[in-house]
Amino acid sequence: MSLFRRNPDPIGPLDYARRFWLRAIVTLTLFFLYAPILGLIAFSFNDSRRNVVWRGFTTDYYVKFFNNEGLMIAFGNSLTIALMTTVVSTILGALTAYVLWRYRFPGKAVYEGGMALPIVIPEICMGVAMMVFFARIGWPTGLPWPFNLGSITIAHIAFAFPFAAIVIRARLENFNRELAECARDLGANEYRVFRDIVVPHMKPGLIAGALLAFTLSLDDFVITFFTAGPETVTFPVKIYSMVRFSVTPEVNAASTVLILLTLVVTTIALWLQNRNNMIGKSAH
Amino acid sequence: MSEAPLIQIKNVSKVYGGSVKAVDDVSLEVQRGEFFALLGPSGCGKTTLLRMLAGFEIPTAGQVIIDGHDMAKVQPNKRPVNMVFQSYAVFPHMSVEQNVAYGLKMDRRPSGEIKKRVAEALDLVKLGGLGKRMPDEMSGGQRQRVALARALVKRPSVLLLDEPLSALDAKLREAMQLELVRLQKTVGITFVIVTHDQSEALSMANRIAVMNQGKVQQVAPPTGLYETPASRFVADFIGKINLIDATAVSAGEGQVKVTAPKIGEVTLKGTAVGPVALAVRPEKIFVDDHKPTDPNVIAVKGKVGEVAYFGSYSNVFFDIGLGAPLQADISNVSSDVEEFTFKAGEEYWIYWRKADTLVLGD
Repeated sequence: MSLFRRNPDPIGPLDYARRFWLRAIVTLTLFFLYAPILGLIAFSFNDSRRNVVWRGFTTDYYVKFFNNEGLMIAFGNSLTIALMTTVVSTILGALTAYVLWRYRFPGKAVYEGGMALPIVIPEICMGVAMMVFFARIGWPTGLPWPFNLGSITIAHIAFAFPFAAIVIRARLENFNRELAECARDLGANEYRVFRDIVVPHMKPGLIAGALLAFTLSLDDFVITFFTAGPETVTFPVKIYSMVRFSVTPEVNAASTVLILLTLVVTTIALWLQNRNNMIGKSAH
Repeated sequence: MSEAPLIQIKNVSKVYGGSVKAVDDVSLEVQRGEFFALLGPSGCGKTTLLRMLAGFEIPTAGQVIIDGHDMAKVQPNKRPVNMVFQSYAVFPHMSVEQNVAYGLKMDRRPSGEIKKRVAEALDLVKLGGLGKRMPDEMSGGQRQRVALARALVKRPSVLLLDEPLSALDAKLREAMQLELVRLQKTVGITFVIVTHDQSEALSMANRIAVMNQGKVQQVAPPTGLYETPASRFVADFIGKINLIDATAVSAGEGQVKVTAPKIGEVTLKGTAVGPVALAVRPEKIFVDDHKPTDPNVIAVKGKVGEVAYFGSYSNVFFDIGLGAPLQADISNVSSDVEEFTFKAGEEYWIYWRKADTLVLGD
């Protein structure tokens, strides 16, 4: 770094990449962001019961993880809840966003604010509230799988769908209303306009909203912790209970799988979106 | 005309929020096969009127009749009209072909027919062979052609065009004006166009309705609008015009006796009495060194003020001792620059024929 020396080639106003402090901040940010995750992944291959010293490479803990019935059940529960939450939140979010965008009705501002409340309410409050609520209304427990996941799923949908709604709403904001009028003019009824014109425009928002709901649900701990019963342990809750004894490489392996899964889902979604654009571009 | 008009607008008003009158008691008729223009400054209600024809706005009062049917309860998708939107509204996720086919698909036409008619429509707007393109690969002018083809392919009774040329650059706009006139003649469909650009309306339309503040000021063919405007507003809005405040009294037999400062007393054709404006178009004014002897002209003495050179003509302002200067468009018929150069301060006689003078009430 030539911080104190005259540089024969002075740094231009837009040469951000050549400024020392900017570089330092970016490097540090990336370091604190990714070093723990990379460490976690690396130590999932560590051939040691304790997670401090590197003792050699092994995949034993992955085998152990996949053979750990409790963890696998928790993993299955998490995926099931996340999938149901994703589907319902995206549909609810899309409908909410559409109503808020398309119609004017009394109390709209109140409704909009009320809908977004789960985003700002501290999660711990929502968790406690959910727990009390389900106990108070006498939500049945001890149902067979997957119905025993009902309370968690409902709680997840309640806090995930506002995120989806906000993302989809933002997408709708830059919709050219003349497109909808034009479709009407060409003979489409309200439903066809929604299906043929509005939904295709919403699609990136739908994908983003679904992804958001999926990841929110998959890694939620606080709300799940309060709404889960002994029979219905999810992946994050299970890991938490394992960590209480000791952080074993098995936990690392489980976390790595979770990270991988999120990465794969995100990549697929991005790829789908890109492919759609590509098809559009190469159609001549 | 013996045939009933295709569009009848009867005493239509549109009031927003209980008090804002966007359209104020408008009655209009458009004949079959006409190229009709709604012209006016922004906010005059012309677009609202067009949207009422399309069905996107419901009149507060009055009746809209298209092809003999009252449109009061007819939804936009059931009307025999199609519209070209200001933003063109080409569906971005559909190819050109799919865009044009959309309306026919909504009508559940057989696929063979759709294919044939889409190809014809694209040929009509000179986009043949570009059917597979996506809208984001096309220029603004091409997208407008897609919008035109998409509306025309449905063979509507009326094609509505909302400021269709406002987003194009000047050169393309002129080409598109000719193109639209050609198209209208080819397909024989009635066109109703909304524009704020008077030259656009004059060059394209058979008849023009000039609107201001929600009311129709005058409906006339372009020549009528330009040569015999019905009011001061229309005269001022269409083209350039000189207006001289005057007072008029009736002289009988369609004539008025007008008194104006510097001009004196003249008897002219007209009906307006009281405070009026004497109006004359700048290109109808002549300039000479000597006082004209012809008794059929009005002549005043003026001093050259500002001169703007436009190539084929010069726009010269003469100070005639009244508040506003008198402007004249002088054709530059000679290539001898000296001969046709007006120098500030020079004095000339300015005159125009009495027959070219309009007497306009408010």
